[in-house]
Parts: sequence; C-alpha cells; structure tokens
Amino acid sequence: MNTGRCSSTFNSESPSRLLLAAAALLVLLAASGCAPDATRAASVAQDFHLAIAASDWSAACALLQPATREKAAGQDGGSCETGMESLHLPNAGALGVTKAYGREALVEFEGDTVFVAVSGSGWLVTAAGCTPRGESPYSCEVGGK
Amino acid sequence: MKNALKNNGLSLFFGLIFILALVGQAITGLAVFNEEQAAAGLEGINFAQYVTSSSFTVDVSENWQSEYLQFLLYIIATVWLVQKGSPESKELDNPGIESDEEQLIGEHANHKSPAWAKASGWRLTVFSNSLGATMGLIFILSWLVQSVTGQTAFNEEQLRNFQEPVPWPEYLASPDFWNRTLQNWQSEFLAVGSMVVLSIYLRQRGSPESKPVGSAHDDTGATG
Repeated sequence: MNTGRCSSTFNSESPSRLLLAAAALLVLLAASGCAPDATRAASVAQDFHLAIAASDWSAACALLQPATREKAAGQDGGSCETGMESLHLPNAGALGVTKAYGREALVEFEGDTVFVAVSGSGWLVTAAGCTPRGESPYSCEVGGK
Repeated sequence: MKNALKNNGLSLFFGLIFILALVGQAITGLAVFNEEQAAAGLEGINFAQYVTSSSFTVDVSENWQSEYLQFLLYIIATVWLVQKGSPESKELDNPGIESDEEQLIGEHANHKSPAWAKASGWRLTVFSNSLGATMGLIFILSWLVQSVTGQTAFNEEQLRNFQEPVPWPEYLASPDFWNRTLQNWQSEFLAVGSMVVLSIYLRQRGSPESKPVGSAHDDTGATG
C-alpha cells in the first residue's frame, strides 16, 4: 500500500528531492558551521591577562596550550613560570573584538592581541603579546611562530 | 521490490558509490586535518567533529558546485549549440527550444504527459525549464556554501599560523576562493568537451551515451 510521501515506493521525483535536501543540508552545515564560542575564547584570553597582571605565573601557564607552554619554558630547561616571569607582556587594557573561526580565535585588547585554540571542551592560549606585521604572521612574546 | 531495484539501478548505483566516496573523503580528510593540527602542536578532532567542520564542508561543496554548473551549462548550451557527429547534440538543423508539437506540450500533450506540460502560462514555463533551474539552484547554493565555509576554513588556517583573518567580501576576491573554484571548473569543462568530441569517433556498444557502433561518424544526435 502506498502511504504517501514516506512510502518506500520509488518515483521519478525522488532523486531531485534528495539532491535538494542534500544541498539544503550543506547550507545548514555552513550556516551553523558548529560555530565556535567566541565569548568563551575571549574569557580565556582575559583570564590569562588577569593572571599576568597578578603575577600569578602558574595560573597563566595553566591557560597555555601544551606546545606554547614548552616554548614559554625556553630551551635552557627552565619552567614555564620562570619563562613567563622573565617576559614583559604589555598591559592588555579593555577587551576589543574577538574573531573566531573553526577551532581558532584571535582576541584583540586595547594593548595586546592573544591567539587561542580549542583544547578539549575549552580554549587555551596559543600566543600572546602579539603585534601585527602586515600579511606576515604576528610577532609574539609568548608562543606564535 | 526486485523490479524496483532493477528499474532504478542507475540512480541506486550512483547513489551508493557517491556515499562510499563521501565516507572515504571524510576519513582521509580527517587524517589530513589531524596531521595539520599535530604539526601546529594542537590536539586532533574526532570523525563527528570533522564532518560538521568548515574544512570538510568546503571540500565537499567546491566539488558539488562545479558538477552542477557543468550539467547546468550542458543542459542550456545543448538547446542552442550543436556538434556535428556527436550523439550529445541535437540534429544540426534543429537548434532552439523547438515547437510545442515536438515538445508535447499544451494542446499537443498526450494522456501520459505530466500535468504541468498540459497547462499553460507560468506553470508550463516553470516546468519547461525545471531541470536547468534546479541544477542552477543547487549550483548557486553549493557555491554559496563553498564561499562561507571556505572563508571559515581559510581563516582557521590563518589563525593557526598567527595571521590576520579576512572578512567574507575580501575572501570572495581571494586567490584561495578562486583557485578552489577554477581548478574544479576546468576539469568539468574538459570532461564535457572530451565527451562531445570523442563520442563522434568512438563507440560504446549498448550505451545511450554513444551512437550505435555502426553509425557514421557524421551521424548527429543518434543514441545507441
């Protein structure tokens, strides 16, 4: 028995409906895009700068991505905390624009730019103390290229 | 059921190999994405995260748009342009939209003609152009999706490399967008052009895409 549109009976309109449905699915994927949570990205960057301002180096290091933490520690076998203490990161100032794409985000402050990336269920800092260099990668005090 | 499978073998076959290829693309694409993540010292993602990512969607949509553009152009171009000797072409003396009688529409429709072919006015106009319009709509949607997800994927890579992201209008004029677009277009146009020309001189016995094996090379519009 044909039960209507949900029937398993084949008909000539099915392929075009399937194609349109698939195209609609693509549009939905693009629109939702599993958009990253820019607010949480900005919040992590703010927490990082609050820790720096309070000279709480271990809290600041805990907000770094593992690879960035290693870079901050330097190559002379020191700790991340010691490395952070020796740096002179600029005062962040007021929070500006956050640009988030996929699993990466750039958080702009009045006096600094911080890069963050998704790690587990949250965000961690990949670079801080960054200044733009045109089309070249930002120059960063912590992490970066 | 057996009859249904037999009568729809062509669409089912292509539907199946489409799904297999798409799954294969997702699996290999995930491996490439995670290699890039590892190179940047970042953690990898799982399959579900990857197939809902912009990286996967842009790779899918850039191919989709070019395929639908190819068929859109082919459908429309073959109304007006002919190719001597090609089974893909109409007869040389019959370019254009043809008469109502040839198209079995309006008063020339028969009892099996679709309802809108028997109609007049906008319904007949819409149905008369529905194949090209649908292909065109899917092309536009896929290209739009490519531009949106392409911008996100591009900017994600920019940020991974500590570079400035670009806004969507700027991305539309970027080499990344047009390189993704044109590298697909050129291959589609080559494939269609090859089919038009090669089918003049070569045959595939039993295929409606070919002339009958014994047809003359200058026999136009014949299908076997």
